[in-house]
Amino acid sequence: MFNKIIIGIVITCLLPALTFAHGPARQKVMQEIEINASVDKVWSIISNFCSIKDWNPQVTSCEITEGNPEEAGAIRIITLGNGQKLKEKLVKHVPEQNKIQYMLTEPNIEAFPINTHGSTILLSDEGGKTKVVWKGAFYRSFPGPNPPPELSDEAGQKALSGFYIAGLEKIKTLAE
Amino acid sequence: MIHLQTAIAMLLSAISAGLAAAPFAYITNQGSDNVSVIDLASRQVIQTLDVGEKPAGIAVSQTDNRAYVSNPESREITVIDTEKQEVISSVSVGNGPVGIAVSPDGKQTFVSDWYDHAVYIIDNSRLVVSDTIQVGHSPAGLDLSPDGKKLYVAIRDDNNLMVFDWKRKELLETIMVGKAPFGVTVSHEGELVFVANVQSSDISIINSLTNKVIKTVHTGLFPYGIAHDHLGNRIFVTNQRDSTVSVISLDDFKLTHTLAVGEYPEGIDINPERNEIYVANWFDDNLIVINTQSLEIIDEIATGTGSRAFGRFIKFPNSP
Repeated sequence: MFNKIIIGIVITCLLPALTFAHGPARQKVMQEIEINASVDKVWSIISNFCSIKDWNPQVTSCEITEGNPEEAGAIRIITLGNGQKLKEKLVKHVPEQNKIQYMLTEPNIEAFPINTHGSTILLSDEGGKTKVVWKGAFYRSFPGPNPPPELSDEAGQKALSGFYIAGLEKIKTLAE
Repeated sequence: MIHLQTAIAMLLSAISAGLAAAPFAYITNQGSDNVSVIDLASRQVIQTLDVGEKPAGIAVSQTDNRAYVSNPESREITVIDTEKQEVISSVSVGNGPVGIAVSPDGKQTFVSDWYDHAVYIIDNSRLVVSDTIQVGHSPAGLDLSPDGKKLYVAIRDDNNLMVFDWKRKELLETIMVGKAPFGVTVSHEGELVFVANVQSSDISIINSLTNKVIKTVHTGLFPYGIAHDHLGNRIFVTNQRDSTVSVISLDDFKLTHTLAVGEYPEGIDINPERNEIYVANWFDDNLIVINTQSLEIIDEIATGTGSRAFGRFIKFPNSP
């Protein structure tokens, strides 16, 4: 009984930390690719927030649960190959700049070992070709120093970089 | 020969006086574990100092030649000599030191600890932790009143601002603000306190006499740091995920301008004498200079990787 109370108190104390706290230093991720197709064509592939299921092989399904997939405020839930889900919000959708910005709203370390993730995909014309730049910033989920390897900054880098590269390569295949 | 030595000595002292007289910016670079020391007159990086791991916060004393850097990953405060531009010491602190501020008299450094839910007070003469104040969950930015008596701490995970009489370790007030408050800046005269609420994308403006939020002003996405332009009666706010700076008038508490800056703008500070605002862009690895009159970016200075400069990062010339 006493032990249960103590455990209860400990869990209660830990809860806010588990919910909110993250690693000490935000990390950058950046990948880019050149595609031999027009900006308009590439934009038509990525413009819809849920089109990621078509252009990122790591995503097996996507569902819009709120809003319009081509307007800021939309919420999507993507499912990864391992069955884990991530909830993300479309923060900006700017057709004039061919820019999409989104963020993770609920972390799931079984999907990626990260606590926050802000991400931007920007298309620019390079003499008729398209340069796609995918930039992201994240905090690892493990709070405090000395994370286990699978929850380290490097693990987050590896997971997100792999996700970006897989997406960019598929967009290139689809557009060309 | 004697004349030559005298001349050299005079020249050297003139050079060092000249160097000490310039305003400097101390920019923490979280990705490269160092601090860029920038001469704000020539806008050149004059020194790059290796500090602890993942440096984030910065506090510069105006009464002596010290600057203090928080290193959350190596859990220490690096002490910099702002005259010689070198690292002189390091103090182990807590488990996740982030926010940092130095008292107006330069005698204490206050460090918020993200994981320990505490503010550690460092005695700057002995360079040891001399006291601890328990606060709410995940304290972030902190600042002091101009008289040095009151300590304001943004409590990120509790959505409030705690106000302490730190000498007596007495909690004077807990003020509810927006969601996930991070940066805190006390106004030049101390009558107002500005809090940047990251997740609700707004600024809470607090009257420091009544400890009440008198206005909440919407900003761009993820507001982070705040600089008070007391001559222009306005504040400048960095919006991390909008790559902008919001300019808010304190005459009517209205957003007057949104300035496009670099990506992930974070640390911000003002040099009223030069009419300049400086913004560290974390993704772009630089510090930009904004003229407060024209509101245009007039220069860009490359820093180390992941420049954050969270805190008051300018060393002003010593007054005569």
